[in-house]
Amino acid sequence: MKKKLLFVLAVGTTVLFSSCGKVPQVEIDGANAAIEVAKSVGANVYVAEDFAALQDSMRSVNENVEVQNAKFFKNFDQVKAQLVVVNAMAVEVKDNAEARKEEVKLEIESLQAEVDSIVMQNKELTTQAPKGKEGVAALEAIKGDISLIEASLIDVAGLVSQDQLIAALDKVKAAKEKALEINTELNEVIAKYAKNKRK
Amino acid sequence: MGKGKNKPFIRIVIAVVGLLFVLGIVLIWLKPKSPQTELKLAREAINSAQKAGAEEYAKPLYEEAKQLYDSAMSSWTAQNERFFPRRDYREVLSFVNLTIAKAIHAEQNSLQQIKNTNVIAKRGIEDLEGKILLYNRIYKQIPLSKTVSKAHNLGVMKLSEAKIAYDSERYNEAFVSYKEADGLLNSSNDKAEQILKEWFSDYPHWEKMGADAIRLSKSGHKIILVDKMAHQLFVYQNGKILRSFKAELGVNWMGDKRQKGDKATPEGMYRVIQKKEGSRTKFYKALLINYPNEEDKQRFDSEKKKGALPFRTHIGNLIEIHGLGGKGIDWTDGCIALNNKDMDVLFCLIDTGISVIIVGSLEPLSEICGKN
Repeated sequence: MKKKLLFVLAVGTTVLFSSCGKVPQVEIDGANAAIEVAKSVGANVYVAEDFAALQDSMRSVNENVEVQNAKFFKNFDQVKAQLVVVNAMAVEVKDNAEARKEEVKLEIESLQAEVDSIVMQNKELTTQAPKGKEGVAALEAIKGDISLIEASLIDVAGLVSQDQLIAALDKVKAAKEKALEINTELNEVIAKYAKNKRK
Repeated sequence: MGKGKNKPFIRIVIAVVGLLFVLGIVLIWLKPKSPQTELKLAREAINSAQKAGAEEYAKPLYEEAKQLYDSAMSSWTAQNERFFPRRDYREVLSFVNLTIAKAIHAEQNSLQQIKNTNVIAKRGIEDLEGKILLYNRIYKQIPLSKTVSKAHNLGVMKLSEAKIAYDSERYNEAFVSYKEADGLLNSSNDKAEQILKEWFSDYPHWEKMGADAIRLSKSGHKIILVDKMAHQLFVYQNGKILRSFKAELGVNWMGDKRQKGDKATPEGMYRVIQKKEGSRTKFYKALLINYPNEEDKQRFDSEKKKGALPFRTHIGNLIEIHGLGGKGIDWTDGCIALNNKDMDVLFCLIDTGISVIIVGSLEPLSEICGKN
């Protein structure tokens, strides 16, 4: 009887002063790794708001871990459930970031092709522009402008290879504006020249 | 008998358990309150700062707030590892308070920074658009070096990038591109302005020549007055403009003609010495002027003597007012070109011997640049 009572006391004390659950460290590490993966594909740039929400969810998980750690009777079931959600969110955010990046890349490629085509058109138009002494200086200036656009397209390709897609997109849009401006200028010069020739 | 012996022991055990139970209750009651609500507030403050753009616009403050939050979490973890009656969350709460204060500071700083960057970028972009307009209206038509026009065009593209970033509310990127555009456009405009200012140092002389020409016309004679900057040819009589025509000039029209082949249009007082049409000219119709006049010859000889011009160079000749103009660019070797319709009118109006006064500008530079 004496032994039995001592045993019950020992077990009771152990149960009282020890936790009932363990911190789900493997799941926490997994979630942190998933967040890092999302960041590595540029989620913080391309889907910044979603990424911020993901980080906030992880901070909330860490707080809940400590809430349980502060208790006598720890229960990490809710934390585990939260971690499942965070993992799923991380995957979704990563996928969305990749999709958005792909969209930006496609937009850049499409604009690059468009600018290339306008540059080709502009070069063709320079062959139709006045070739006499009256056209030489103006043509040289326009050719200089065209070469600036070509240089800008090289910069765009460089930025794309460095994964700086937003900067590349801005640059290619600016190049398109300039290419169109030259196109208009050339068409006006040619039209004016043709009109004067008819006279 | 055995039962009787165990009774005191059982009583002791029950008393001990009871005491332990009461002690447990007291300890639980005394256990410090977990700071979860405060940590949540700190996290929300960080989120709010992040939503206000602090991660980009108030980065150091935002990073500090995050570090303080991490310190609060670490301190909480450390306290949780201690035996519960010994836990002390005061340090955690202190970090929480610092986190909240820093996050609020970061948020306010970020909003102010966004406002400032937005205003600076917006004003800067508008200012540079004005400079591009000025370049297109005035500087583009003057003969500039390739370096100047290249800087201008690079600046125009950079400004487009700034506008694209600004429209996407990426004010920091807009600001960076604007600053680059600012450097390029200002350098090209400054160089162009400097060239113009140097050329316009002759303005008092042009002004006098223009006034003399108009005075001369008051005697009833027709005179031709050419304003190179305005690209205008005026026919004056009795002190009034009889006709005005759009004129195209030499490729390097700015500055006085110094020698053969410089493609500059001369400045000075000349006379029409020959009227040409038909097979006598390849430029539809032409009025030949007496370039070089005595003044041109003297200056040319003096420059040659000083070594400012090569010894074997020639002064040039055959400067005319002729047809085939209307191309929209300055293209001649130094002559003044009118479109054929205008040339027909001028050809009828003008006889040989008529004065032709060519000046850089009839208006001061400040007036030209001030026009919208």
